[in-house]
Amino acid sequence: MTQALDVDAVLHALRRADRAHRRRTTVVHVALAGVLLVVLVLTVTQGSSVSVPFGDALVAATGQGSGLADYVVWENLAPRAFTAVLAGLLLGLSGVIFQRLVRNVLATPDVIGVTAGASAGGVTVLVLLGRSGAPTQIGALIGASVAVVAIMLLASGRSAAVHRIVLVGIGISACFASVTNYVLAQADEGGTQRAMRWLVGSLNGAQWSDVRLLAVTAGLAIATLVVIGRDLDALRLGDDVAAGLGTRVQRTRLAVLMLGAVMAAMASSVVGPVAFVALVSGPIAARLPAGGGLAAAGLVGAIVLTASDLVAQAAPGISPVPTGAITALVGAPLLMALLLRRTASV
Amino acid sequence: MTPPDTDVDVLVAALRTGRGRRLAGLLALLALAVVGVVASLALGARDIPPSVVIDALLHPSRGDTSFDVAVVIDERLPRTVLAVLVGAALGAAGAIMQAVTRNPLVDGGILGTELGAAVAVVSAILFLGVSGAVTYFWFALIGAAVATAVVLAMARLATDTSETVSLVISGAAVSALLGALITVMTIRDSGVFSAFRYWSIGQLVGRSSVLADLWMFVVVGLVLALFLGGMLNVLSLGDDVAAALGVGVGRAQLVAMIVAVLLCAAATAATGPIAFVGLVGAHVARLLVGADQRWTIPYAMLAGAVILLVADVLGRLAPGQGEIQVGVMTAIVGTPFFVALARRRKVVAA
Amino acid sequence: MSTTPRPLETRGVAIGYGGEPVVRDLDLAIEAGRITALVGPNGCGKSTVLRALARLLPAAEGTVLLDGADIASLPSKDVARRLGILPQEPVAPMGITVAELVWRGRHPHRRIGQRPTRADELAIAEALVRTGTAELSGRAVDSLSGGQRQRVWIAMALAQQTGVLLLDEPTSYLDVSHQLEVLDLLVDLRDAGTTVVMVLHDLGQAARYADTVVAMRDGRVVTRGPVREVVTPELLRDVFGVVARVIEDPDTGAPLVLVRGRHDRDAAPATPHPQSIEGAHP
Repeated sequence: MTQALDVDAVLHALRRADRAHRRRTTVVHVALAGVLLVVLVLTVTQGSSVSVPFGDALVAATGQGSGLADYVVWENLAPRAFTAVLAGLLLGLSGVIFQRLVRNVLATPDVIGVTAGASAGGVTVLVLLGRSGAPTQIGALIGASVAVVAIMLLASGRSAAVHRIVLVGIGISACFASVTNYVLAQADEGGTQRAMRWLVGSLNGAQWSDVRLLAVTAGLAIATLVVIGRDLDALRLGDDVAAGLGTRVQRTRLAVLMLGAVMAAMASSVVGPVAFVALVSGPIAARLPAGGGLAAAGLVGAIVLTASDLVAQAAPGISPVPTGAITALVGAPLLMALLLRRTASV
Repeated sequence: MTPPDTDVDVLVAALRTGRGRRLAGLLALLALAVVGVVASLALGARDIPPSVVIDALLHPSRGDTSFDVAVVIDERLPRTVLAVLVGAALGAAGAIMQAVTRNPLVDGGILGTELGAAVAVVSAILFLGVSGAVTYFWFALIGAAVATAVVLAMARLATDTSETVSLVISGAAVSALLGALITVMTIRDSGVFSAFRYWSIGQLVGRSSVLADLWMFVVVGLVLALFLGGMLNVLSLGDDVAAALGVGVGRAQLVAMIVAVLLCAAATAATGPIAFVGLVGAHVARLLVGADQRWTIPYAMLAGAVILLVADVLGRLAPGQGEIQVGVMTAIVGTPFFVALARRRKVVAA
Repeated sequence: MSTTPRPLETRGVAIGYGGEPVVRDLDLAIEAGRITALVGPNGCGKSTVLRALARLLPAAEGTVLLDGADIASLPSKDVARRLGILPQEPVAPMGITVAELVWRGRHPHRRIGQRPTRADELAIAEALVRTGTAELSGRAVDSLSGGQRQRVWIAMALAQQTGVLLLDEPTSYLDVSHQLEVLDLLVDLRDAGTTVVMVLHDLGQAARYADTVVAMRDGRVVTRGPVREVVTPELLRDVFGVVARVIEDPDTGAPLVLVRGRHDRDAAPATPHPQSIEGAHP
């Protein structure tokens, strides 16, 4: 019965390999979480031009501080930092699931029209009503939703192939971009300035209400991902193979697209259409020792955005600069370098 | 009427109808062009009757200093000529790019060529303090070339699958980056921003002065483009077949793309980045004339000119004060066209 | 007449891509535990038929039956536990390892968030051993040879533990030795009880490896039946439009197709060889 012995041997080998993989994955996740924690601590203690003693800052970050520390840290830095973490998480996740679905590293909500819709919506509100904050966020959300609906409607058809969705999205993106430009052209100087700042992406004025909003979104998104994650894995093998494995292809594809769009839209509505976080998170995670995965991509996204925000606020010499400027200037060369050293698919 | 009874007869008959359609298409485009020119000269914030327009054109030096004539000659004529030249340049560039990449979805806007030119010019102005349309052109050329090269390279690297779509995605991603760069660069100084606003989206307003400096570059590009037809026909058969026919494929592609980049750079230096003109122009040309590049390219020039003229005039007629920039108009019109193209199954399956 | 339903059956099926049906009047019964080959010239509809059997395409008319039940009405998971599919040129994500790919085959048997069960592990281990890919389990799929890759995909389908395996041109684009690797493996699977249905481009391979041949042309089944009865010079003439002689393979006994081109017909012998079956006049 050599076959039975073979099977047993293979079984043990597989289990060993699986355990090793699991260990590596845990290590990577813990390491990423550690890095995130460090960045967070740095943000709440060093992030402001007003210097606050280290200990006081940490205490204030938990909401127990008072006086200056409380104002600087609890009212400003902490909500900003947590907003960055959650928005980065959402952007990283939305990027990686799009990249996996379309099998193209460059196909993220930024490119497919969601972010352009958010920009158009947000800018319109900003310029027309002249106020930032909640109205702008709502405008951005509406804009992104209109974009997503338009894409779904226009791309549907007998064969709603992913590529068609992508192409339609790019077309919609161009359309919304021109709407944004038109609105900008009509604005007065002050309005233009405000609009541009928001467009580049900035976490100024982030509130605890924003944090709550993003936390709820992240929670729901992660729960949804747990449910459809396996089907997305199956889809990566191709529509036919996925169907053969029992996946409902159209349904899953739609679910993934909507989920990614919603995550990107919510994040963009709060922090503005920040560039590149969605694009680079997946590829960076894929090049980490355990080969990446959705959780790693999310953590990477959180780190990238929080770190960029820290640099934008506090780096000597160049700050203050809108966060989006940092993510664009760092993200672009980073993406090209990642692409050039192609070792693993997202 | 006796039916053709030999293969040769059938062939000749087919050629004749081909020629017939070409001729009809040419006449239609020319007619539209004339209408467009007249409209461009006549319509606007101030509607000038066509009779006055024609009169002013025919007798420019009559010494009649009426305001209307001044508007026509000093403002609208250069603007119209600029629209024609830029439209032609973008149309030709679009046709060339589609032929070289064998991809019906690309043009100077989609591939980020124009935005690359814009970024280069804005950087040069901000960091090197240059000025003058001719200098802008040289920087535009460098930016356009670099952006296009990056997009082409990224398209190959970024995906496991289809080439056609991957090129478009690559262009969109690079365009997003370049757009963000322009925003970042111009945000610092609000005074500077209004001067540079137009580098984000093209417009013909107030650009008439560059005509004198840049028309030469555009014309050179257009002439070069006319000579590419034969070579592009061979390239369209596929790299291997073309090589077997004796064409140095790599070099031919490079030369063709350089001409396309040159045209886009000149156009962008003149008016800022205008999207979709190349895409729509090249497709209209192919509809009328088929895939013979010796004809497609000149027709694309004509179609591009018509499109830009029409877009400009429509932008002027927009309700409310002020006009809609031509770059916004072309995007609004071009998007449904692009989306319709994208929905065709054949395109996606390529 | 057996009362157990056939694993796969079609009744009056027509299939199309939206316009005119591409395949018509399809009444097919796939026998259990056999290798059935779908053959025919390009465009005859054989891939379309396979896709309809796999539920990748809906039937425009008629019904496709899986174990006697209308396949269109069955839940996807159910179908996935009984039908495995290997499409033409499947693409694996870059960097995925053999073990990870074969693991995906367990998808229809698992619930969300479930820990790998003993049944899962056993299925995978068995699949790897039967396809001879066990020592490749840690390697990236895209680093393997064509034959190895196909075997890995078959391993994934095996891990699904289905009774039926559908393959679309599993041997195209492979080196000859790898083609034989794959075909020999399919014979092993049949011997162990799996029902195999495959589209084959190469009639010679069908003649050698299949038990039943279904020959199609222009969207219709021209003939079907045991391979020895079906693979005849008449078939080659009617379905493929070529002149051929069919003899018995001296080593295996299977039909051996010898096609005759324009230049070959002059060399044909005047008297028929006692073992051969003469074909139509050139």
